[in-house]
Amino acid sequence: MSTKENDMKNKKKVFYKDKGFGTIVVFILLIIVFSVISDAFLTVNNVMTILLQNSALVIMAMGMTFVIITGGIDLSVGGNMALCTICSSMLVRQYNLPIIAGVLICLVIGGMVGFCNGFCITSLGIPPLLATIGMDSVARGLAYIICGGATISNMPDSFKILGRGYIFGVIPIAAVIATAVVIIYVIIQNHTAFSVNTYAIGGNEQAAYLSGIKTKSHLRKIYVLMGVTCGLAAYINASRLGVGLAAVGSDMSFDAVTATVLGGTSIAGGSGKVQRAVIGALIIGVIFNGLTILNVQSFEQQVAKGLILILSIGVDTVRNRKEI
Amino acid sequence: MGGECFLRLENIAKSFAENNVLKNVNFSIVPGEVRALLGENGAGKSTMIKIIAGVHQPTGGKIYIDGKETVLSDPKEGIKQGIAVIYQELDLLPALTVVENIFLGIEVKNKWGMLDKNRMNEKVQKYFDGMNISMDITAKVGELPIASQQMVAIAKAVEHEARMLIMDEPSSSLTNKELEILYKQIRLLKEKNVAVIYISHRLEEVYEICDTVTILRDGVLIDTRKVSEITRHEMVSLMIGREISEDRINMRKEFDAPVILSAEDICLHKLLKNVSFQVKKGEIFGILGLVGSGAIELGKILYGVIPADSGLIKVSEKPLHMKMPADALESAISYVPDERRAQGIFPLLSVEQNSVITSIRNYTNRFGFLDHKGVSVAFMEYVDRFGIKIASADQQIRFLSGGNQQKALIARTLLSNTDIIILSCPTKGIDVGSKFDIYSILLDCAKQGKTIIAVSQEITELVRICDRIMMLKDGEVYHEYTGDEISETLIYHDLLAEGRKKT
Repeated sequence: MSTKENDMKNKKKVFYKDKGFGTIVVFILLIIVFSVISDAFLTVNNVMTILLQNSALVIMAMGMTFVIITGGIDLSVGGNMALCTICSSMLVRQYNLPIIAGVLICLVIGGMVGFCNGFCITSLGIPPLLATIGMDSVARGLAYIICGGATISNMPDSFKILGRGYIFGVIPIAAVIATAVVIIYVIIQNHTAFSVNTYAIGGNEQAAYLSGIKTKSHLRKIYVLMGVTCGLAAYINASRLGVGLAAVGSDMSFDAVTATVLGGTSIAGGSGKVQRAVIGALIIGVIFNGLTILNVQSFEQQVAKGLILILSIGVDTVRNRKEI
Repeated sequence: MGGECFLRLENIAKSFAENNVLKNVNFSIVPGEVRALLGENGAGKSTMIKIIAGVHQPTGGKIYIDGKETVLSDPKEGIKQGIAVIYQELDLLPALTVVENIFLGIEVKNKWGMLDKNRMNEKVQKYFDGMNISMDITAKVGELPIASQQMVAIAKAVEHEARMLIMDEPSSSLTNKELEILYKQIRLLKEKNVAVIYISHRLEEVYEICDTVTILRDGVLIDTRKVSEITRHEMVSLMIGREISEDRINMRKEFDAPVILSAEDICLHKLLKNVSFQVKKGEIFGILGLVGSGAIELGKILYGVIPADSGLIKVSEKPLHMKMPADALESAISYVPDERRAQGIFPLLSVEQNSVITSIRNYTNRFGFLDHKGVSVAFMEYVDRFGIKIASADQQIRFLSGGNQQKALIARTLLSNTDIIILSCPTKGIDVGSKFDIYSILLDCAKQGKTIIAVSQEITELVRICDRIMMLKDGEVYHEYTGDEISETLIYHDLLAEGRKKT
């Protein structure tokens, strides 16, 4: 192949073939469709509601994108969230802890669960799918044991600030935090050796190992980071609900993976961008919000959600096949 | 040879991109004939086999089977025509038993459509008994030694009623006793009127088992002769060709410098036996060995990819304890792997990222942020110096040619600024032009004080660039060649000679 051909190939890739492009088109189309159908959709209030409702998912999708870039997956985030929520809310209520302490508890617990995932995957060699599915059950079970199945209510008001508070009375604090997390992740993604190594491991683990990357310890870090991110999402979610529930986040693994894949991150690993996962998460959010406004039942929403995941992975797989 | 040809190739040509690997090859073989296929590495043997097997499509020429023109569009088609290939990496399924492997796809069933295990077991047992081979036919193939696996592969070809069997260096990992059994199996195939193409580097085997011999060189079929009518010397000179290119690019007659790396008594189960050598600073040191000689493994041991069973590696007098490649890099050793696609490149990353990956930590500030400019400057320096052809630094490496990918990988080792660079098969799968680019890059590096260790099975390339060549045979050091000994003819004769030590 001559250099010129290569040149052409590369340039062509940039625009419409870009993996994020289709996602953005879908996102905009959805917004147009819903605003045409319903006047209630494109209002400041509703937009802020969508942002608030999906802050936890957006944060979660950041960690998930890095995990999926390495070629792995984390299906334990739902259970992890439950464990973080219960530990944090019980301790906060018991000792009337300040916000920062509540958040830290979530981050530490989440990180610990993430470390266990990383240990099972790298040191025991269990495939990520199975290791994290097992960990999901362990974490949720622990959450139920700790709280005895009860709802942790009567939380102090400070606990609810991050999830229910607004800046200037309009912008949800949760959305601001989510935005900050996204920015941090984009910076990590674009400007650190850590990120280059992450892509390298996902693209060719053997070559990464031979290039002197400590692949196992790197993967452990990735899962710990996912766990910490999950902890933050758990706190924001619990704060929004105002209570601690062990049943929380039962769809979270599913939603986070869907958001990531919708954003064009390949489940085969090696490619993907965190900022696109934000669009993926918002697509999920917009569809739910829109369907709810249109009075579509939650059972139908469930079906829609499943179809979206299958469709987005289907597109990803077909695209991968073409590239070979 | 008279009689009906089973297979005939007419003016077969094959090129990859601009690289002509086979040029107008005319070849034919009759049933029951055992044909040796000889040639140096890169002569086009494996390409020719892959065309016959249907793996590659020829870019020109025709294939006739039983006198009928046939298109072998994929390996399945080849199998259907009765062509079986036993590659060096056996393609048996390790988790299945011997019997299951042999009858894969042609399972014997009883009248209810269930597997008739007794019948299959019986048939297989009978086959091995007839060969006087003791074989546990219910064992999983993955648990058997390589030699037994090979026997299973041949048995499979026989049961599938193959009409032609191609064996790609079947003897490279066999002991003498196992070789006898292999011969026996080949003779049985001959009796059954199966045509056999036998590829080997060992000429004594050709005399032992083959009827005829075909010699390839640089993609051209040089000659086909009866084995009884050709001498060993003739074979070798036909393989190497007239312009036995003694023209070394490395002009240093003698080289002396302090020792930088020394290896003592390196052992690796069955593959390496007490290998010791020393490499001098700034030297280009060649490790020559065919598949199964342990040369590739030795390169991996030096880089910490696989641990040696015993032995000591010292760099600048300091013993190394490497658990993984990251440790080797810290001890100033870097490595270019032989499997460029599988182990070298990150296909989805840019050329720049690919080149800088091992040294990327050197380009971060104290907050851990990347110095994109610094990376770019360092990378572009090598683009200019090596003449890497890229559209832009962001171009994904998978769109580059093999030669340019290899240059990027060498840039990777230089960017990581190690004193010692190990290259495993430095020019594997690279066109001739780029080969010379890479040779001069390596010489250039050596001049600047880098120590180069080149692991290769191509004598020509080692002769061109090395100050010293160590030949490995069956996991042992056969001889170290220096000065005037570095001659292609001499080394090639030694490579084909019997025995484990130079006499």
